[in-house]
Parts: sequence; C-alpha cells; structure tokens
Amino acid sequence: MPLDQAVLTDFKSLLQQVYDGLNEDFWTAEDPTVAASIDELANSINAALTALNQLGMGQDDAALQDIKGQIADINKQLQDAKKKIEATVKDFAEAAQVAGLIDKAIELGAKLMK
Amino acid sequence: MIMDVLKNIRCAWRRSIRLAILAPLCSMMVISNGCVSKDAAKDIANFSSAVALTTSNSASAYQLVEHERFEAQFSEKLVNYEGGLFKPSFSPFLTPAQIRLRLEVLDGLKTYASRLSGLMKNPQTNLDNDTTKLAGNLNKINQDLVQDSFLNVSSVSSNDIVIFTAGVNALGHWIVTLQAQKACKEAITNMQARMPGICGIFEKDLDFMRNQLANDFDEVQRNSALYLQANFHKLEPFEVRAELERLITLANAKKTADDALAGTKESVEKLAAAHQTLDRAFTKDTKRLSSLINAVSEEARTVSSYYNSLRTNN
Repeated sequence: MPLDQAVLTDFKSLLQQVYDGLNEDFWTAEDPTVAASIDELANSINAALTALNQLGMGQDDAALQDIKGQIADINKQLQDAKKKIEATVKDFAEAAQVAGLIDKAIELGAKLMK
Repeated sequence: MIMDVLKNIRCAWRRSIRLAILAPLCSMMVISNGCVSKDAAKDIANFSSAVALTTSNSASAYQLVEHERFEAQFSEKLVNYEGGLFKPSFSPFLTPAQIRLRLEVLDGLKTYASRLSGLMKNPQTNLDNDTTKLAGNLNKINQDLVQDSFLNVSSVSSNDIVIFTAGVNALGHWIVTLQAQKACKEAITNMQARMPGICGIFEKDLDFMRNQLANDFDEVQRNSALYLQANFHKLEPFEVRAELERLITLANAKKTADDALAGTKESVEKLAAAHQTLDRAFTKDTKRLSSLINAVSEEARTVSSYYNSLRTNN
C-alpha cells in the first residue's frame, strides 16, 4: 500500500520539532549524563529523519531517469542540426572552390590567347 | 571567336556578381523583417555559462551533503568509541546510483545549453574563414589573370570581388543563421515543456538536502561537544583549543552551508524562469531575458565562490 504523502509530511514535521527541541535541551543540560542521553535520542531521531529525506528524494528517481532520456533526445537533435549546418558551411566552401575553378579556366583561356 | 567567348564569360561573371549581391540583400530584408535580435547568440552564450555554473553548484551541493552525513556518523561513532579495534561502517545519504543519475541529468542540461550556444556561434566563424579564403583567392586570380594576362584591362575590379565575397558570406550567414535558429527554437520549445519539471525536482532535492545538512551539522556539533567533555582531561591544551575552535567554526559553517544550498535552490528557480523566456532571444525585445540570465549568473557566482572555498580548504 503506497504511503500517504500528507501523513508522511506531517509525521516528518512532528519528528523535526522533537529533534529541534532535543537539540536545544542538549545545550542547556548541565549534567553530562543527561546531555549524553539527549544526544543519543537526538541521533536516533536524526537517523529516522534521514530515512524520510532519503525516501522523499528517492521518489523522484524514476522521473529523473525519464528526464535523462528526454534531455539526451533533445541533445541528439541539436547535434544533428549542428552536423547539418556544418554540411551547409562545407557546401559554401565547395561553391567557393567551384568559383575558383571557373576563374582558373578563364586564366587558362587567357594564357592560350597570349 | 575565342575573344567573343571570353567576353561572354566576362559578362556572365559580372552577372553572377550582381546576383550574388542581390540575393543577400533580399535575405537581409527577410532577416530585418523577421525582427531577429543581433544579441541572440550572446544571450544564449550567457545562458549557457549560467547553466554550467548552476549545474556545477548543484553537483557540489550533493557532495556537501554527503560529506556532512559522513561527519555526523563519524562523530557519533567517535563519541561511542570505547577502545579496541575501530571498524565503523558508514552509509551514504544517497546511493552512488542516485548521485550518478542526478549528475547525468545535470550534465545533460549543461550539454543542452552548450550545444544551443555552439549552434548559434561556431558555424558562422567557419563560414567567415571560408569566405575570407575565397576573397583572397579571387583577388589573386583577378590580379594574375585579369589585370596581367587577360585583355590587359581590369575586367573584374577589386571592389567587385570584395562585394562578391561579401555577398557569398552574407548569403551563407543567412542560410546558416536560419538553420541554427530553427534548430535552437525547436530544441528550446521542447525543453520548455520539461524544464519546470526538471528544475522542480532539483529544487525539491535541495529542500530535503537543506534539512539533512542542518540536522547533520547539529549532530556533529553535539557529538563534538560530548567528545570534548569526555576527553577534556586526557587532551593536551593545544588539542582542547583546537576542539573548542572547531565547535565555534561548526556553528558558522552550518549557516554558510545552509546559505549556499538556499542560493543553489534560488539559482535553479531563476534558471527555470530564464529558460522559459529563452525563445525571446530570437526577438527584438530581449531586455527581460537578459536581466533574468544576469540574475541566475549573479546568484550562481555567489554560491560558486562558497563551493570553491570548500575545495580550497579541503
């Protein structure tokens, strides 16, 4: 059964309040043994909060996997477009060479006329 | 007879020059009627730099959180250490596969922006080189052939050749610019449908990470204080001093790291907003786009200096 997102958010918010409260108490505790007990409890709650954060981030893993593929498709389109443009540039260079060849032909004709 | 043929070729050559001049002029008219901003390439290049910086900051954010997660676990194990063989095990905050996936998406975004920028800039440079070569060749041919050998008069003036090559250049520019803009517009439209979702996930990640980082910093501070308390009498004065200094530094570091994650999130938000108006780069009115890109860049630069300082210190 999937977890109810709202319940999970409320639960996490409650745990966070407890954690913040314990953290404050730690710094005001005068007895080192009490401070150590508070720390131990706070560390356990932080472990639970960490698990909830990991769960929250993990929920987007599938979406990120899809996104990765979609971005790759767009990047491929851009790469193809670049190749197409490079081909156009090459066509212009070839056109320039053709213009050069025509002039070479005229040059040859002129030399024959000399 | 042959002289007539050569004269005809000369006329055809001049006609082709006129055509080469006329076509680009018409093209220029089309471009000007299309209201294309001259700064499109510049705006997209600036956007690309902003994306590179923001994605690099986001990648650093994941490292930062992982580092503090390790510190929190280490400090806890140190407090609980009672002698004997120290063989702790540490769990990462995110699995290597999760980190890799996020870095790949960030890298994909960087590639996307850099390809957009490359498409708007590079082909024209190549074309300029080609047409510059063409101008050189034609000038040489004109001097060698026309002025020295052929009919002893200038059949094609240097000015005509300059105009001809400028015409080829302008025509090439027009075609290439049109192709580049079409491809960029298509890619931007495609990405605009996805960008809010992509940035939304990274913003959500950063919210979780801010929370994690703050909690872990608190844990490290508490554990460090307990460690000092338990070992105060066993430590040398300089070690006590170092531990006390560390406690104070941790409080400042927590705030700076939190600010960095908040800044990273803000720059991701701004990046999404800038991308949604990126198609404006191809219009005359690019003021809003430029200001949005500047906002991302500024935020990203500020945050980047923090991550760079971490790299220097570590």
